[in-house]
Amino acid sequence: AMSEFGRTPRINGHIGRDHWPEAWSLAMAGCGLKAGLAVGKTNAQGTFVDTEPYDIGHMFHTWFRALGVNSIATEYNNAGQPLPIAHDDCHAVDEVLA
Amino acid sequence: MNDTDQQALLQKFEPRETGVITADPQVTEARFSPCGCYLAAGGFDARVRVWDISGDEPTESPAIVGHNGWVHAIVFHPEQDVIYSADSWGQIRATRHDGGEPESLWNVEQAHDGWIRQLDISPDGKLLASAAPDGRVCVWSTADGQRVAEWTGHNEDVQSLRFDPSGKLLASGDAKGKVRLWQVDSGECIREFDAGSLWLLHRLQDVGGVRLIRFNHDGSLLACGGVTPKNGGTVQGKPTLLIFDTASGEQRQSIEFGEDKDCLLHDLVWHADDVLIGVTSGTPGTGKLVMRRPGDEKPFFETTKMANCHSLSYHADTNRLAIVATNKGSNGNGRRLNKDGEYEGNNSPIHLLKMGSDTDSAKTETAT
Repeated sequence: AMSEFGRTPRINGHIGRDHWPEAWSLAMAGCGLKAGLAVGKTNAQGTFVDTEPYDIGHMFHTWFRALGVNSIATEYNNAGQPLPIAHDDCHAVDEVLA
Repeated sequence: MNDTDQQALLQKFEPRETGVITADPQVTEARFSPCGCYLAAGGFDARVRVWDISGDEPTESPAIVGHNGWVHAIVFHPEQDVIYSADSWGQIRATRHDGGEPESLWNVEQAHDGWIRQLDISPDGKLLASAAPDGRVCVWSTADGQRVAEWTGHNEDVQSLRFDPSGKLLASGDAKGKVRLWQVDSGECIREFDAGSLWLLHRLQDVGGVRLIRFNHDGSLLACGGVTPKNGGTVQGKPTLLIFDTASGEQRQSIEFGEDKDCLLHDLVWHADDVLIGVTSGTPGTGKLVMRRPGDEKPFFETTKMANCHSLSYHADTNRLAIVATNKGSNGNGRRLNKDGEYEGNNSPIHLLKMGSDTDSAKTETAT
């Protein structure tokens, strides 16, 4: 369960929060994943990630690995053009993998 | 209204700012103590902050702690130095506070399932009523926190409630515009009022609802406030007050307090001189303080100097107002850092105002 961005730590005048893409969290469960742990944290204000930050590319590597798919060796075949199935510059989050 | 009437009203009611308390973190609402010496405010940081405002400058007293989430409702006992407060986790607390270290008297950890929207206290100070999204109106003994009554029938998020001036009746309003009038002694719902124009179902979202209820000085009229919503999402609609005949349930008036961008009528005082004083808040940066009489075509005073006003408190003896607003520039998507690269939070300026042109204003009773 995740959203495309987080919400501002501060509350606006409409008693709501605005878009904040700098730090937020997601929850996941399923095969190949450990249960009951929290990985990473923000600073005390909740504004920026204090530990190693992860992006959607890291998540795809993690999910494919959990499913038993080699996310580095496997590629999409776009009419003969090879495309990565997860961002080249990212890696799986080993901590969450069973 | 002729010019003479307007001048007379302005002479009695036009406010001038006497000070500002900047509350950081932000607060939800602020209320004067009955003696007028203290101002208490519920915070988004789970505290109730208290200031001594009897001197030239406000001085802060120790805060009330023990809540969780947002403290969204506070009321003072009419005679004792006791503050009743409620939070978004469903807890109600009673705390003695006379300017020194607060003393916890009692608390009910799970008074409601979820966010307690409003509290009200009976005029004799014996009963405390609470409203919440669990659809219940609960009544508690102020002496020991025992629940003495639980009334169901709304089946919706109950957003507002108010005792009438006699204390024998209690009105409650919900998210879909239904208002129920309860006989306090028996718990019988004796009448329903239709404030459905304050509600809209838009894109599966319930928009609006009865956000505040007030009685006039003798309880013969009941007013329900909120917005006449045009859409969900970023809500647009005129801040609206509906006035009903309490005895018959008949709607007498619909009064607007601004334009579509002004959105919600957040708080209101029904002054004994039949003057309605209200504050509104729309999208970040909008909002007004409005003063008008029910029978007039337009307000006799309004100001937009305070942005996003969420709370209004009136102290009769000193003829003062306390308005909780929001700092300018409170909204913003994405990365908003100051020139030093730091993330700035928002704050709640609590504006202290004195009404009237006389420095020694006469005592005035109010029914709110």
